[in-house]
Amino acid sequence: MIVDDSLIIRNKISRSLLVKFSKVSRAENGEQALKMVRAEKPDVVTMDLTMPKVGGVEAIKKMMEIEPTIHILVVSALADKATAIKALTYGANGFLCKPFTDVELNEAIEQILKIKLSS
Amino acid sequence: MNERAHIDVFIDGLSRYFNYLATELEEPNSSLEIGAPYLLSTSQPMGLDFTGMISVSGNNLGYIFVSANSALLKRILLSYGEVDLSDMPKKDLIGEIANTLAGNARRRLGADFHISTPRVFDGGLEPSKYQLTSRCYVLPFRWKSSKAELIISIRER
Repeated sequence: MIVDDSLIIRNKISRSLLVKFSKVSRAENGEQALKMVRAEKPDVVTMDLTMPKVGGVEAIKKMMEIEPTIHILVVSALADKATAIKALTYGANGFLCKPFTDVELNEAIEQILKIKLSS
Repeated sequence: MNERAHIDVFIDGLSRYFNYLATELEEPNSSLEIGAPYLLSTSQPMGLDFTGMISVSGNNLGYIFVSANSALLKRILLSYGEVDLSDMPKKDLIGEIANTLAGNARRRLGADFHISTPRVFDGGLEPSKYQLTSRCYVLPFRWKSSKAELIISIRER
């Protein structure tokens, strides 16, 4: 599942994920993602942080309550260490800073999948 | 942090953004040309075809605007593999660029440099509608000969 308020970013991430996953769903904000996650139980979520309605950090916290085994890669422009640490503390498994290349995204997703397999 | 240092933070961000685009396009250099910054004239409309605006709060107050002409945004959309080149994805893109540059600035300005979600406008903006700082800088730049500008109006709290 891709959670990002930018259509361009959702499209970019989707193109990469569709190589690895048979189904990729998309949400425009944390609120929409929380509604979808209950029904879809996704393997991996890419999560933006700066979004309208429910932002990424709050969405991660609530998502972990709904699906504690979910694996989340934060994909955000917020480039400070404190934000990355905060997201990881709330349950995210990785952090990828925007802008990113397709290679970096694929590597980050591979890393998340390794964590998922070993857990 | 003084004005020059603030400008340098955003020059670094711009360079980073277009270096990433060059990497994606497998091009040898970013094709980014950054011009000399100048003070905004508040008596004239600011901005180009599309503008993304980020409100800044926390340890700084003000706005970051990223504005570009339609041709530049079309080129970036093509480089992202987009096929829809209408105004809607261009607006989405200019908002995302503004968000990326402002968010990346936290690497140097810290987590207390709070940024809003982007607001997007088309056409020029009237400076008097915003509480701009008295010294508001325009950083002009070109990518593959298409024009854009970054407008920095922030002050430390």
